[in-house]
Amino acid sequence: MVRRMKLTEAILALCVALTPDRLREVREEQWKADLRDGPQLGISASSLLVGAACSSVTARFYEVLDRASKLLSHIKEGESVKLGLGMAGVAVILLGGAAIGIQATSSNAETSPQARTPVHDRPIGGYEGWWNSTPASGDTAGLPQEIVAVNTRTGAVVDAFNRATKSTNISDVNYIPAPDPSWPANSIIIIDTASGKVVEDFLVDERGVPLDENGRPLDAITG
Amino acid sequence: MENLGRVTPATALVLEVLLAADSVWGLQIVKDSGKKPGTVYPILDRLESVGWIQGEWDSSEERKGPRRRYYRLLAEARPSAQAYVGAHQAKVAPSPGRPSPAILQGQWFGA
Repeated sequence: MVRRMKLTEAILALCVALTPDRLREVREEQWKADLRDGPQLGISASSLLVGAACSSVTARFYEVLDRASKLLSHIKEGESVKLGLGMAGVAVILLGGAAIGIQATSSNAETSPQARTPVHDRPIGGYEGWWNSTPASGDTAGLPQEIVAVNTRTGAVVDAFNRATKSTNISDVNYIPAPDPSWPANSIIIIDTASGKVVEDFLVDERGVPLDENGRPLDAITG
Repeated sequence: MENLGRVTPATALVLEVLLAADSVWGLQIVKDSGKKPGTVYPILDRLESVGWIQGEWDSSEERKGPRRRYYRLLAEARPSAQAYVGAHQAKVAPSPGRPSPAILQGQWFGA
C-alpha cells in the first residue's frame, strides 16, 4: 500500500515536472485533488495518472510548437533580421553547392520558405506560397505538413495540400475548419491542420482573386 | 479566442458536457463524456489555451487539501462550440457520404 502510494507520488511528480512552468502549480493541485476524489466517480488512480501524463506531454508539445511557430513568424516578418540573414546565408551556400554540382531539375523548387503573395496566373483555388512549397534544400522542418485554404467570404475550403502525399485534392484532407470570429474578413486563410492555427492570410475580391497592397486584384494588374 | 482546429469526436463530447452546465468539475466531464482522463485532460488544456474555457478553483470550504478544478465555457465561445457540436452530430448521424465543409457556411463568422 505504502509502496503504491510512493509510486503514485513519483509518477505525479514526473508529470508535474514535464508540465510547462506556467501551468505547473495549477496542474499539480488539480491532479492531487482528482486522485483524491476520482474513486468517488469510479475513476481509477492509474487512469488519472495516464491522464496527467498525456496532459503534461501534450502541453509541453504545444509549447514547443508555439515557440517554433513564433520563430518562423519572426523570420517571415523580418523582425529577426540577424536570424533571417543567417538562414538566408545558409540557403545561399546550399544553393551555390547545388548549382555547381547538379543542374536543377525541379521546376517548383524555391530558394527558401519565405512568405509571398499567391501567383496570379493560377486558377482560383490554386493558391501558392511558402505553405505549400518545398525549399531547394528539401528540408521541410517547420513547414506545415498539411494545410487547407478557406475563403472567409464564403466559409468554403477552396484548396488543400498534403506534403506527404503531394495531394492537392480537398477531399483527401480530412479536416473541417471550425469558424472563428477572429479570422480576417474577405480573405483566404491558410490553416495548418495539425495545429488548427492560421499560418497565413491575404485579402481577396469576391471572385477569390488576391488583392495587391493597393487593393487591386492581381489579374487586373497584368490585364 | 483562437480557432480550435481539428474536429474530433472526443472534443465534441467534451464541449457538449460544457454546454450543458455553467461550471463543471474536470472529473465530472471525464465521467459524463465517457472518455478516459488521458483523452479529456489534454482537450481541456487545449480549450483553455485557445480561450474557449476558463478553469477556476472550487470555492467550497468543506473539502480540505488540494482544490478541485472546475471549467466554464466562456460566453463568446458558446456559438462556436454549438456549431462545432452540431457539425460533429451531423457527421456521426447516418449519411451517404463524408460531410462537406460547406455544412458550416450558414454559421460563418469571418465574412
